[in-house]
Amino acid sequence: MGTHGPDVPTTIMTRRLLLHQYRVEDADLVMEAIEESRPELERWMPWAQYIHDAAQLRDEMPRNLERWANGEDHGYTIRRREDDRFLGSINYQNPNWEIPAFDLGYWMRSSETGKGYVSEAARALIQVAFRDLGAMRVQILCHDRNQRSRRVAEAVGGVLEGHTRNDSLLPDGELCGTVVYGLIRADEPVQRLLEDAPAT
Amino acid sequence: MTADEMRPAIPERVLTDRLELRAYTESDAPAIIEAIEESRRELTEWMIWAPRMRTIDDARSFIRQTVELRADGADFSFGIFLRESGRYLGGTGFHRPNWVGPAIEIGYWMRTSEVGKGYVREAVTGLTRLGFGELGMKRMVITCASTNTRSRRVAEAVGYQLEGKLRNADRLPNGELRDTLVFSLIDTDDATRRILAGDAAR
Repeated sequence: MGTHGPDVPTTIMTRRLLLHQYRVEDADLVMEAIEESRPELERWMPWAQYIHDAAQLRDEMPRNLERWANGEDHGYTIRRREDDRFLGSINYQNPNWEIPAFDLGYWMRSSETGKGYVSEAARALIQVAFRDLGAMRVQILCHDRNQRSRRVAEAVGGVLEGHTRNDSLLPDGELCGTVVYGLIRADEPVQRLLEDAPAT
Repeated sequence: MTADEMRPAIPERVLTDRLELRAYTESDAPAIIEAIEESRRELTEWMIWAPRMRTIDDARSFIRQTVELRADGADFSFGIFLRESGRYLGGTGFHRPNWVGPAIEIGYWMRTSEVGKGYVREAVTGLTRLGFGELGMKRMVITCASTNTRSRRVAEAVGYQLEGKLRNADRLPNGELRDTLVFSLIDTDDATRRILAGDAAR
């Protein structure tokens, strides 16, 4: 398993965005975006309530790099190329290299939602997964009530494959379900991404 | 409360009309291998662990592993035995617990000479009743390859609902990609109420 991490590119460029492997020097900017977005993040993301200063993010960096090297999790910062502003983040999560299959996870700072940035970043990760990492499956899991997250999964062509019930605890303690959006190589949106010129 | 504090104690023995489900002990090793050998063709088609289970020593190390996993609260295997004769019929268990739901999965296999007698259905009904009853589960899950008709029929017969079909989600033992069906019951389903009331199909 540990041999796959280095295959995952550390930077990915799209029309408006630069995705870059998380770095220690990102911590202050990320923290600022988390604070700005705290009400929205705490609604859906279990980790948000535990992150209160940039030092915590810096402390996690060695572990993040280790997970990257082991092929266990690949987290990117999303920046706008035009002005280098930090917008949010996107990850390959829970890779199963035996398939290979990847989950995508993402969040966007509150002041920059609604501009299609997450979809643009997600399309790039889907393209890289199928083109360069041998993926046979990419999936996006959303809390069933998280409409904004679901819209991203639908915008990138995810097929609603299932709706599992009572399997997800929101940070406020409420039990909810999960919708599973899957993409496989034969799906038309994936074929279109593979026909596109490399995302540079 | 932490997830650990919410963790219910899972019994080592469960009785149903015809069956005893119990944690394995080392002396079960020969019976396990005999049942696997008899069923090798069918098991090899679906079960990733089948090729690793050849000798009585393989079965002993499997049993030791089940004891450790149970002690860690990570996985709970049960042998399925006929109450009347003590004959070993196959395996079942609670897998992949998620204590914060809480939710848990059920898995099963039956030796080839004993399929078609409703034993798996009876064992799964018993574990489902235990799960939603004593153990306070909010969700119980059965997954199988989309092409494993016999396994799928067990889930449907007990009343589990199909929630989704995940494409290319796993590989069969022969390496081919498979789609995975996800079935579940949740605490408020009608079928769950029927099972708890004890009038479910046995």
